Parts: sequence; C-alpha cells; structure tokens
Amino acid sequence: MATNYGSKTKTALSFAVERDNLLQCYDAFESTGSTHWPDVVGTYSGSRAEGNPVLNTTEGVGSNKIKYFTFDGAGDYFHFEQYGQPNICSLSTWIRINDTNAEETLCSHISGGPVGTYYYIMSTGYMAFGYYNAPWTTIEGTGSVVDDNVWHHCVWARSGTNHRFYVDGSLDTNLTMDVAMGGTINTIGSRWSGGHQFTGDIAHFSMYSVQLSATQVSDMYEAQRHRFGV
Amino acid sequence: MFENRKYVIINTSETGSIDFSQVLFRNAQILTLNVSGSKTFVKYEDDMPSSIDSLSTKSVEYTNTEIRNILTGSEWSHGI
Repeated sequence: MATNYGSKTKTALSFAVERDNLLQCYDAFESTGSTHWPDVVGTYSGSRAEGNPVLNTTEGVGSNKIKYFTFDGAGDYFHFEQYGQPNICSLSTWIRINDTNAEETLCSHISGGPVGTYYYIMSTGYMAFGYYNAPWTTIEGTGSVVDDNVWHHCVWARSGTNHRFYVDGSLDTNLTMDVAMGGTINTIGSRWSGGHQFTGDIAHFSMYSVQLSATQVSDMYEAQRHRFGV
Repeated sequence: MFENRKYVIINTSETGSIDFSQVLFRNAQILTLNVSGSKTFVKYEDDMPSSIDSLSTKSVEYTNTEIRNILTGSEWSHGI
C-alpha cells in the first residue's frame, strides 16, 4: 500500500495518507467552501450537506492549516450515494467531540431498509460499531475516551469477524463480531431516521476496502497529528 | 458555534406551510421526525421566519443544547 505524507493541495486526497484501496474519501481540508466534500476522484458525485454543517477555515496556519465541518447534532449531516461495503473494511477519521451525553454517529444509512451497520462514539466516549445480525448487535471499545474536545484519529478496521479499533495511532480494542459484516452506507453524521446525529467537528473521513494494519494506522496518525495540535 | 441557531418543534401536519428558503433544511423530505411521526423540528438563524411564526403548532424556540437534549429523549430516539 502506498504511503503519502503531507498535504496535496488541489486534490481530494490531501489527508488520505494511505491512498490504495480507498472506497471513499471526504476531506474538509480541500473543501471549496461549498456544501460538498470532494470525494476520492475530486468530483462532487452527489454528496450533499443537509441541515447546514458549518465549514471552519481559520484553525492553524501554513502547512498546519486545517478545515473541518462542525455538525450541530440536530439535523446536520452529509448524504451521498449509497454503496455496499465489503466484509473487509476500514474507516479512518479525524474528529473532535465535546458532547459527553449522547451517542455520536460517524456514518450509517439514512433509511431503515438497507442499513446494516453504523459506526459511532458511545455516550461514554468509547468507539463502537453496530451491525444487524438479527437482532442488532454492538461491539464496544474499552480503551480511550474520545469525546473530550480534543482532536482524535479514530480507525475502525475489520476483516471477517475481527474488528480492531485504533485511537491516535495505537490499538484501542481488539474485538470479535458474531459474523462478518458488509453493510450499505450513505451518510456521514447520522443514523437512520436522523437518529443519534453527530455533534462536533469532522476534518477527514476515508473508507478503505482493506483492514488497515497497525503500522499503517500509526503512520497515518503520525503524518497528520501536527495539524491537529496533538 | 451555534449560538444564533434556533429550533422549533412543530406538528408534521404543518410542514406543507413552511417556506424552506427561510430555514436551514432544503425540503420536508429530510426533516427528522419523532418516533410516532407526529412531530418534527425546523431550524433557522436569528429571528423566527414568517412562515414558522405563522404555524399554529410551533413550540417555543430552543437553543442547540436544548434541542439536543430533547432529541436524545425517548420520544425522538429511533430504536437503538
């Protein structure tokens, strides 16, 4: 897997770092200020901001400058064309949460029909993943709390029934699911029916069709942490 | 961040009277409903838009913190 450090202005991949096997990459760093995030091929393939998440552009300077979207937890989310995820899959995201009373959904599906998975932060501040195995089942992190109003790099990396959560470049929790899960997603920041919407900041969101390794996750974190002051 | 945002809960039956150019949602299809489907909410910045002010079922204005507390309650929490 190729590794690329540093910003790549004028592309949609500036924060991706790991570029191979990308399924999706939304990067507020490259935002044009519109209501869209550029996707992996640099075009706006149907993504749309609902509600009115706010683009922030003033944090950091020079090569450390970041842009991010702030979601109000009450109707703000991104909606994009749905796609099916493979059983082997990873989500990498930079987030900042200052809400210790609620679940924060990173992504899922806005409709109840095809939804099978959701990635979220529990009200206790730990990473978690929900999947439908008749009934809904969750696996929950037990390592680091990430809703402390500090930027965190969170990675969900699964292959078959193994699912590893990483926080800030280190393994947080190594979990086993009951079944291997794919899932269809089309939102960032909301669960179905507008439930458990994200309150806070998202600067980067990329999905991969592989289970990222510990080394890759650490490299991703180390390459970008200076931008977030951590 | 969202000090200027105001939120008002209304009956779903009145969504047809909303001028969506005055609020921060594009249309009625993307509004979040409560579990029973009888209520929804709209949001806007600063003063209450005229099309919201004229709704007979509108609630008081809520702040962002207040509406998030409401949305985490059982009336608005969809399933898991």
